[in-house]
Amino acid sequence: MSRHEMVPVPRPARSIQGQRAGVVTRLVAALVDAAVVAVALVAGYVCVAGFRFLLHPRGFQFPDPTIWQGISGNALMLTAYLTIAWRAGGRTYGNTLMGVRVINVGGGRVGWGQAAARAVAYLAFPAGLLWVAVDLRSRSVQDLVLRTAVVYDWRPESARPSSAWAAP
Amino acid sequence: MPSRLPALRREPTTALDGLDVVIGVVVIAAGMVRAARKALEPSFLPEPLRPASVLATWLRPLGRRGGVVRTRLTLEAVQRYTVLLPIVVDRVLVHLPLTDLVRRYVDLDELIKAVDLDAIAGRLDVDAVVRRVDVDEIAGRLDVEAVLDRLDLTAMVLERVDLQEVVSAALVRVDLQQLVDTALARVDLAAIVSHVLDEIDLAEIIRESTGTMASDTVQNVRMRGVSADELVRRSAARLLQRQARSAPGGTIPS
Repeated sequence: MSRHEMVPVPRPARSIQGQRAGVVTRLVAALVDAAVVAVALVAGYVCVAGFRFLLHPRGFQFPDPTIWQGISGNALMLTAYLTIAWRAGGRTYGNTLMGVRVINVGGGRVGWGQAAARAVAYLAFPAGLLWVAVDLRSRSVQDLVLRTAVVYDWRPESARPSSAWAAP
Repeated sequence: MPSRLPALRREPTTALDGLDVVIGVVVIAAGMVRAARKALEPSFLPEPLRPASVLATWLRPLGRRGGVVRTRLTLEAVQRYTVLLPIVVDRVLVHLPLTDLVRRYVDLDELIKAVDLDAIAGRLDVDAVVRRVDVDEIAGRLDVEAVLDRLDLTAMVLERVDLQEVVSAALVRVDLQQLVDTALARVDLAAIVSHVLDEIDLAEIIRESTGTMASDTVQNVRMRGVSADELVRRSAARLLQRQARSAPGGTIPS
């Protein structure tokens, strides 16, 4: 980050921009994302129910998915959400709220495969996030495997250069 | 030149003795002349019969002739005097310590007081003097910096110069567009803008005024998260007995 860059970041937080995010911030972001996906699932469920009501108003019954259907739907939704969000802007809604961004080893945006693999890895082994607390460089298990990182980045997308945290 | 007065004072006494003898002879001769004159003019004889008158009558032709000779001799003496005087004076002055004599016997201050310098200055042709002066050479030796140091040029300009008139005239004669272009070419605008941005913190003003970033609540949540991260990081470092670092990993992921 150049010294005179127009960064709408409050002065106390400027010094930490680009540094690795800690476990608390990332956990909160993950919980927010989980809540977002949950809300989306509920919204999706309501939409499906409404659509079925429109099709069969007399014989309408609320959908009653099995546990596997629920799990698979939740997993699909979460994977898609995380993959698209990390690939598109490097951050989900939870990341945006907590001011962090997912980047690859070069400091740039993660690719589609990397983002999808990361999403699946978090879905399969969420506890890997806790490794951030003990890792010297604040990396989760998924970060170690997929060579990604999460850094503080409070700037909005419009104020972010193409390779914000690239090597000088 | 050494003074000759002491030498004069030490002249041999024979010369002074001779002079004294001459003076004595002259005094005696004068007395004899007065006595003879008194004897030649007895009061009991009428004027024409007095010996002096008779002698004068007899001697008058001789007097006339002597007068003629005297006049001629005087003229000759004057001519010789005119020729000889400069030579004599020159020889005398060579042997006289004039500077010492003037310094010793002349009150120069009193003499200068008596001089009317104003009258002299009035008669002086200053223009002619100035024409003979090499002003360039004098100006070359002049310490202009020292002169300028003694002058309050700012006060002089403010007091004597019509700045309004000067600026107006300058604006009429100057190509403002070219001036601005030249100034802009020499000024590092980027550095100035950066400096101004540093001073006024424009980013902070924009952030506060536009509201494009998260609200204060979100920022508080973020800052609390950062603080909690740091706390956990330090605790983990303490538990794992390693040196805590406030900036884990730096800005470059690996």
